[in-house]
Amino acid sequence: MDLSFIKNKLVLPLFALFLLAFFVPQSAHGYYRLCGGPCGTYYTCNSPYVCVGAICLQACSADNCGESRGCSRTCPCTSFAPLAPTNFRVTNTYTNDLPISVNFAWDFLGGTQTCGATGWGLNCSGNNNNFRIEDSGTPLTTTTTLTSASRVTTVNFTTWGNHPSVKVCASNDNFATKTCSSALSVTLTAPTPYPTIVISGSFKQKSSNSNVCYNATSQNYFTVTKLAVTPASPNCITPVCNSLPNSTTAYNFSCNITFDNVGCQTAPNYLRPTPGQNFTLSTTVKDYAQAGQWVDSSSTTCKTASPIVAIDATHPGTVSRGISFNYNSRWIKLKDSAFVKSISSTNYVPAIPKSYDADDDGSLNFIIGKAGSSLGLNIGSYAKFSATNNWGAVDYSPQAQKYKSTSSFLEYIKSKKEHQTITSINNVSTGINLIDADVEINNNNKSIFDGKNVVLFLLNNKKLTFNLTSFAPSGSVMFFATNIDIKGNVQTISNAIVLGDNINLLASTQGLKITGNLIAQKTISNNREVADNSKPSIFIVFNPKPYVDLLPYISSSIYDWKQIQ
Amino acid sequence: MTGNKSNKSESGQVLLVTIMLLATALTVVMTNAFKSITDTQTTKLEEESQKALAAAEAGIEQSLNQKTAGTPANITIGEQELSGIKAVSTNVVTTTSKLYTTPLLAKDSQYTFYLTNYPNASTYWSGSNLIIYYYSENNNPALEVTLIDKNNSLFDRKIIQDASVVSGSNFSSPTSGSYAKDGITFKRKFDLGAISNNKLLIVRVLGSTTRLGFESATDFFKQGEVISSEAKTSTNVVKKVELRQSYPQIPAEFFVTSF
Repeated sequence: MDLSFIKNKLVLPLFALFLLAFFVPQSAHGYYRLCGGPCGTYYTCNSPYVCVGAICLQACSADNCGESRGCSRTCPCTSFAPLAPTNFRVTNTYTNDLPISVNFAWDFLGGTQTCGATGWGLNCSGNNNNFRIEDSGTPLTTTTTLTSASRVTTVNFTTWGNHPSVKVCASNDNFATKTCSSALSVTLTAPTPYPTIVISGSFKQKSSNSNVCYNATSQNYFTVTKLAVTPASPNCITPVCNSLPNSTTAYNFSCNITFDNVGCQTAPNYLRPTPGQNFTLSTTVKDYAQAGQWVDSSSTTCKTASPIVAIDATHPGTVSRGISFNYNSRWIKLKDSAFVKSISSTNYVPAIPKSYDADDDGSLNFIIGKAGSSLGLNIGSYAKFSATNNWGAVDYSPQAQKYKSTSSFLEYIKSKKEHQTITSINNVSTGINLIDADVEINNNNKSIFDGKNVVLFLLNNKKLTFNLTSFAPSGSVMFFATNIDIKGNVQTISNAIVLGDNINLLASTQGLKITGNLIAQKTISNNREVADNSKPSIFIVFNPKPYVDLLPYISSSIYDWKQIQ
Repeated sequence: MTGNKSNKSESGQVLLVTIMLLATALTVVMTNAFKSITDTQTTKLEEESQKALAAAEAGIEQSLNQKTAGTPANITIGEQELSGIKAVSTNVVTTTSKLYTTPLLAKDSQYTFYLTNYPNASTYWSGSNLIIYYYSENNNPALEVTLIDKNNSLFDRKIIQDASVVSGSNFSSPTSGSYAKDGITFKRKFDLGAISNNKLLIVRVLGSTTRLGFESATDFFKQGEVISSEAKTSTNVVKKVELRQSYPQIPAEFFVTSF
């Protein structure tokens, strides 16, 4: 029997009939209980069949939850997660400063892996998915619908630290189900804190008339009343200035400036310090009217300096600077003397005094040598009245004495003392000489005092003028005059006592040294501006010799009458 | 008859009243006259006293003007030289003393005590310790002591105080007590120790007024002139006065630097 006939004429039609049963279009309202045929790469399913798990099954809608579709399949009740995003990556180089913006990107092919095709239960998403970035399951971004063309987003991190499991997740059911990418580790490192910037150095004293500069020391210090630096942009910058060793006896200073580029970065403003900026100095010390200024630390001259110093926290290190205080007073120093106020209530000795000459020890004392008391004079915050003993009383109220003016002593002279009235200075002789004329002591007549012990008394408010470099007679002289001018060229007056109601020290850049004594009974005008006013402009060295030499003339007697019977 | 009796009685009354008035007037007149005589006598006595006092003072002036080697001279003024004055005589004290006291010194004034023979200044006092007394009034002053040596140099300065007149340290502390010297009661004394080769001791009074006393077991040099003078008027009114004139005193207002 030729079976090939059967094979060719019977089997093939039967098989074609069998297959036809699968491909005959079905009614939309009818259901087939049979499992569908295979589907996949080569075979597709005709509607209303959909290819589910390589088997053609009748499609499901959202209303067919749980309905059987044969082949042990039922219509799904939940969505099928979309395909996981791939190639999740960071696309920018982010900074260390909060908030840190990290740009993420990923790929998403669309469709669902499990769902396989649309028409099987709930919507199997294609390109219409929501995405969000999660950090270990915690959402970092809100749900975002993204098109396939722009699958990128930016996350602003507000804290530093390690985020070891950052993923992008896709969902088509508001993240009831989701599919996430592989994890990225995102490490956000806090910036390196700026180092504390230190501005340190010495306090200095500058002369108001020159750039001469002296460093304060443990012996010559300032009392600091204010010390601060102020940044131009103060956010997150904390300057703390200290006088060293303390504000009362300060000779050094240190300003620690903290740039807080870590702790200051907090919500909502996330401030950061400006690392490079100018700092303005604001400092004062007692008795010095002008505020301190920055100067170069190494310089021995205090050049006019800006009150601003530029600091850059990104170039750390100690900034060496000095702070100079301008001493702008004219002051008088005494040696071997006692003092009582007649006019002046202040004579501020600078914090850093310098020697007038070899007779001056340069110490911080108003009176040096064998000092008596200083009564009624404020010498400032730094000096003592005198070394060791320091005898004095600032608030002392001296009592006006009998000869409180030149005229009162003149009356005594006329009634009790031998005297001569002269008409020319050339006629001066030992003893008391009264002259009713203006007198100028100059190089032409200074020698007439040599070898004599002279009291020269100018009458009727006449003026005595010193107009020579040096007056140093070999005898002793005491001048009495209502008005005395000492011109700026005068540098020394020796062996003389100068007593006037009104003494005017005319303008000069030179100092004046008087060996003898100086007494101004009503007014004194010191116009001497020495170049370095750390030195006194007037230096008075008390010398007893003229007093002894002139004792009979410049003295009075005490008379004590008693009626015995 | 009745009319005559009445007239006689009235006349008697008038006489009595007249006598009483006259007696009263006489009393007033006599009283005034007596008072006038007494007043005249008192005035005369006062005039004589003033005349005697003035004469005694004139004697002192004359002694001061008739100095011999700088020392006032004893003088005598006779009866004819001054009107109404019988005699004036002066006595210049030349002896030295171990104790000198000063008049009252005002606050901030000073006293110049001589440790040399003025005016020659050829020798210098030395010997026992020199004691200074002060605080004779109500308030406790401080003393600023300046010593000028024989070379006219400043030898030393001290401040003596136990009240806080002056601030500072290294004060010379006085001893409290009651020290009667020359009729003055001092409440403080200070021992300056032995001093030599110094010319002047200048003591400035700080804080309040006081007298000063200087005492030593060794006689000091004279500190001035002491002249007594006695004058007698022609009516035998006698007055005696004494003048103590210090040696030259350097006023503090010339000695202490001031401005």
